Amino acid sequence: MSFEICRAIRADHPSLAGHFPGAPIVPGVVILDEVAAALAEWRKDCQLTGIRAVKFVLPLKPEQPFTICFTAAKGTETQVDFCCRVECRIIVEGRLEISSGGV
Amino acid sequence: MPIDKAEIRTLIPHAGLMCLLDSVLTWDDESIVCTSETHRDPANPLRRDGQLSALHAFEYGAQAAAVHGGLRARSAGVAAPLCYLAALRNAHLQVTRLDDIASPLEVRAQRLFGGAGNVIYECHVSAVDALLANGRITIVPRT
Repeated sequence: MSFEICRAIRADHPSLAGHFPGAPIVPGVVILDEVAAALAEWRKDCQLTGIRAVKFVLPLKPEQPFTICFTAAKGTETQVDFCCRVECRIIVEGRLEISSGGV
Repeated sequence: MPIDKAEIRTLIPHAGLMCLLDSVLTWDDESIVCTSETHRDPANPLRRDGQLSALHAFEYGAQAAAVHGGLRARSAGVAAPLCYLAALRNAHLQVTRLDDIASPLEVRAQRLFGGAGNVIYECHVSAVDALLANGRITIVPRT
């Protein structure tokens, strides 16, 4: 079971002016926020409770389209693997912890 | 004496509203404790649809680690390298959002490993002794 969605962080995102002046790079937490929003689209009843691991492999630039891909982690109901790709390069990958109820 | 926001701005490259921490309460070579009320600011640049996700606790933690790196470099008389957040592990969220937390955030970062190159910090973000989020971050110099 998997799910894919395409996203981009607009150049006018309020975090970019200060991160960093003259050299905007999308903050890792902004990418994670997009991943969490995409997760909520895939599994409407689930709640993000933690991050087992995430690696920020390559920087993401403003307006650069990226694909978020989820796959159910094998052997567990409470973990989901994800990666973010720009074209065919992985920029972020990791494993999320979820619960189907509230936190 | 606490280190205020104006001095924090001289220690890290984060500018404008993206400089999230308000002051450093205490620090030594191994750890730092900072405080912030920017989580309640409607203009916080990390808000999405008006809400500040608890995930952003790790940006507060990463900035505390960056300030710590800046303070350590300054006391050693060297320039702090530009660093980025390379990894996050064993991160737990006790809440879903931060903007509805009425008290100031306390942001602690403890250096577990590393010196001039890759550094690993354990970060705790809490409010009035209630843990909101914790996790282990890896900070890497930008090459």
